[in-house]
Amino acid sequence: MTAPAPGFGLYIHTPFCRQKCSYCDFNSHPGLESLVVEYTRAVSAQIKQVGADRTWPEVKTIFFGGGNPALLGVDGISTLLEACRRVFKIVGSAEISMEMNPEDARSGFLGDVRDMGFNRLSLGWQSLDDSRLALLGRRHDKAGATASIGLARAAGFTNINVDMICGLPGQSEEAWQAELNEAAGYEPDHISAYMLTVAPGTRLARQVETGRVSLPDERSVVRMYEQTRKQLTQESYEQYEISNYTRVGHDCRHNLNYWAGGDYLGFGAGAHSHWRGRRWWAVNGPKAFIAGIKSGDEISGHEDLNSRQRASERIFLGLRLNKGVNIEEIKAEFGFNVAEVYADALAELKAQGLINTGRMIALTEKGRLFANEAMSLFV
Amino acid sequence: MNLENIRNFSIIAHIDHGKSTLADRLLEITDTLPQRDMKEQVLDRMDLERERGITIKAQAVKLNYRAADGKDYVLNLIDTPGHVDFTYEVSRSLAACEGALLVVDAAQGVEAQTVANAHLAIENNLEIIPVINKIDLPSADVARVKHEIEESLGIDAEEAILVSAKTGEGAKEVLEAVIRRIPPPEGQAESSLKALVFDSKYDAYRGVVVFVRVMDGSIGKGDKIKMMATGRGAEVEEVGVFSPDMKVTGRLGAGEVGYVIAGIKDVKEVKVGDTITELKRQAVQALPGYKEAKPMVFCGIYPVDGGEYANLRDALAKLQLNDTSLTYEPETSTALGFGFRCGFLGLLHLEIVKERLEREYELTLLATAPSVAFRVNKLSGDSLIIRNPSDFPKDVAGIEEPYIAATILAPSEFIGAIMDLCQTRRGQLINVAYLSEGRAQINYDLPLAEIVLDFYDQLKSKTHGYASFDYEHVGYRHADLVKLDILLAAEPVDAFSALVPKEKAYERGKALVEKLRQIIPRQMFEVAIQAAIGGRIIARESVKAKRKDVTAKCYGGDISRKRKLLEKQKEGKKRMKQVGRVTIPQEAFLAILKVEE
Repeated sequence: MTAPAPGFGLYIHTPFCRQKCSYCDFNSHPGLESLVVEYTRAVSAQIKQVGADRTWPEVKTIFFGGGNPALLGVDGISTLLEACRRVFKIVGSAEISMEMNPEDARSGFLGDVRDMGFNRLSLGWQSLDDSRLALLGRRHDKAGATASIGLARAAGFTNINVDMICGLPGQSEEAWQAELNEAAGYEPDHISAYMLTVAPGTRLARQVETGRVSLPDERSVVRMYEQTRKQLTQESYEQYEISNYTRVGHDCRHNLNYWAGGDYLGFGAGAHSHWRGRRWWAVNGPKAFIAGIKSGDEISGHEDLNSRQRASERIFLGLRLNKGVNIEEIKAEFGFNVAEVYADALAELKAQGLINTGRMIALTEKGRLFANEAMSLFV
Repeated sequence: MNLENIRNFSIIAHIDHGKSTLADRLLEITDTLPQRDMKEQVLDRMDLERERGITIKAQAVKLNYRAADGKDYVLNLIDTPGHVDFTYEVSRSLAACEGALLVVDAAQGVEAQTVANAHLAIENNLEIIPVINKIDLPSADVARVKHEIEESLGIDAEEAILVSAKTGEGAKEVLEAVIRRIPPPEGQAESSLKALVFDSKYDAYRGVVVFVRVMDGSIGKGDKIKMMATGRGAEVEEVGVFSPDMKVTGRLGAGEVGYVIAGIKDVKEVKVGDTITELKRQAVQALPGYKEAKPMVFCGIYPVDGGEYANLRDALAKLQLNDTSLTYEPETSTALGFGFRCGFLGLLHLEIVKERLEREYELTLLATAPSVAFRVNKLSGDSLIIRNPSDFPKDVAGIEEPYIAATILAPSEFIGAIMDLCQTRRGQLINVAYLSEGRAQINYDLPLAEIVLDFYDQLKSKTHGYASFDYEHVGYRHADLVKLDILLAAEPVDAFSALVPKEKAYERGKALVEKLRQIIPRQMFEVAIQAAIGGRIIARESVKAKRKDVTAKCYGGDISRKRKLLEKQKEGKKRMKQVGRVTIPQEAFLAILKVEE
């Protein structure tokens, strides 16, 4: 039995943004743009250091995320991508992605990043309704969003994702349906359609608590979620993960590597790395990260997973995928017999109609709505 | 040893009045323990005892003391459990003594346990030496406390000894008073053996260690002995004293206190209060006062994980080795599966047993609401004892329930609040008396069932912690009760059934379903919660269905946190119980206790 071809990806984090969106709980900070040059230098040094640690496999995907990577500027982005290229062997067919906000998607900048070798773009649309975009604290409007995809196409991008969120304050099921329809009408190659998460400590959480904004009820959000799949399927998108839809061949390979339990290196503030069961992560704050790189203690934590934990991660990550998780592979790799150890859990979930079993274990449509319930049985 | 030079005594006190601290000082002064071995409160051996500041098992220790008169004395200090649940053990420990130190907090004054314990000491004809402790406190009021002792107990407090066990002040005077005021034991060295069993413990290697006070005769290695109540015969393997660890000695003579090991493997054959005599020259009459300790409070104990049933059974058997008053028998609940109906002396005893099972045997347990043993007279004329409300029969002619006589001491400003509480608990006022200015003693007769719930908590909260409470059992009385059932998703949950006063059933049912609605988490379907009396639904609530439980995003930096969240979710589930289709958190089973009416 052969293990699947392991992926290996690089993630480069930009912890800067122009303003914090109301729902955002990511490691992203407005007002620190003055640190950009120093930060870029630090990340570049980190790439060099880590690259020299050992012989790493060929890199199949690179992902620039944030925050807002555009704030690194063309020079910064280019410096870091070049650092990756000098240190790692990157396969010719590598998927190289960047997250971008519509307001940054100007044709000059798009052309520059395309020329550098970026071949996938993830556009942070979130919504196609001006009042909701304003409420969320986004800096673009609907016109900006819809224009950005045309500009990206014109710059030569043939693999474009747009992020959309359902369950937003004041959003009716009909409104979501219309927004989604419109988004699909622009024919992005990939759509990430998330249900809104109100993370504790965010501005949105406070607004909800104090009653200043009200969210659609749970029942309605569930219908939006179900509607999304129905609608996008009609538009010839295929759901391949809880929140992700693709047109043939445009699955995000970088993210697929995460869900397959693959190895990856993260660079920059707060970025996580995973290498054969060891996971480690850098300090979150940009300043602390810069100082850490100088003094050699940028890592703020690590964990070594035993084979049981690795197997359970493999299961809950794999369950996110529509195709599910291959339990024979888990047995071959970790000597862990899922069908035996979790016989009761599997029977229970099957009886509840949450999973299908066989060589692959996969969530059903209902199961995806209760994914945490199902996943929690395997940790 | 000459009997003239022996003194046997106990220390009795309300909780936290400083009994154990005073014992520590006495051990120190008599060099019974080298300073370096002094742990705080040496006599409280179990971790639980130290944490809760209570004594669960009696302990004994032998002190060697050269008194002011220049003579050497042996002082046997027999520590007693302080709590009302263990009254019988206390009375047997006291029966092994000639005198008692009655320790009273100089600031708090006389409390309910002071009264209860002092009465036990008086019943046992002990010389009582009042000791007023904590005189170093700024709030100490010695004159008032003396007055209270005289008023509530009728004991002359003029010569009370003033002590600070904390600083050691007055501790020496205590020892001198023990010698001067407590009479030496009397006993016939030549008579046939009579030794009082005042406690026992189980030792995995030695078998049962029996704590005895020799009244007449003597006991030593090789003697053939007999337990007069159980009839068990045995041969003595070892006798010794506590100093405070077990130390082998020669014979134990009349008046002396120590331990006996006689190859007995089962604690049930050695009952507290029994008399040990010689097999050949048997005593004609056993020492008075023996009785079986009867459990008064019952509850079901179930493993949360059904697979732990066998472990629970083994753990209960092991605990019972050291605790004969704990009873258990297998019980099956449709809701909770296989478990045990356990009997306890009282609520504290229940809590201690459950905590020890969980802590020492690493079990995750679920205890149903405590109940009492009801006596049900059936139409057929039969009468039966019901320890579990779900066993309640249909053809009931009448019900009787156990009553207690409660003694409550509190500042007089709380009389009204206390009477209100007792009234709502179906109490009958017996007496209100003033001990001193501003302090009152209130006596009520109450159904035991009313205090096994949260009576003591309520009393504490209504009196800002100032009230103290003690009780004794006074037998069965007529009761007007109905069985209240709770249904989840249309299925009755037997573990929630309760016998409640008829006039309160409706309110209780309503309050309970409302409480359960708050506690039961949302499930994948709507859960109806109903209260019913005799098949008639009297209250209904529902827990709305959960529609989703999914995390929208999980990328490289989220995996570690996600795994931890899922582990937490799983842990949370582990502590819940699956009843039919419904998952119920454990606290739901205790909710029945905390329902405000």
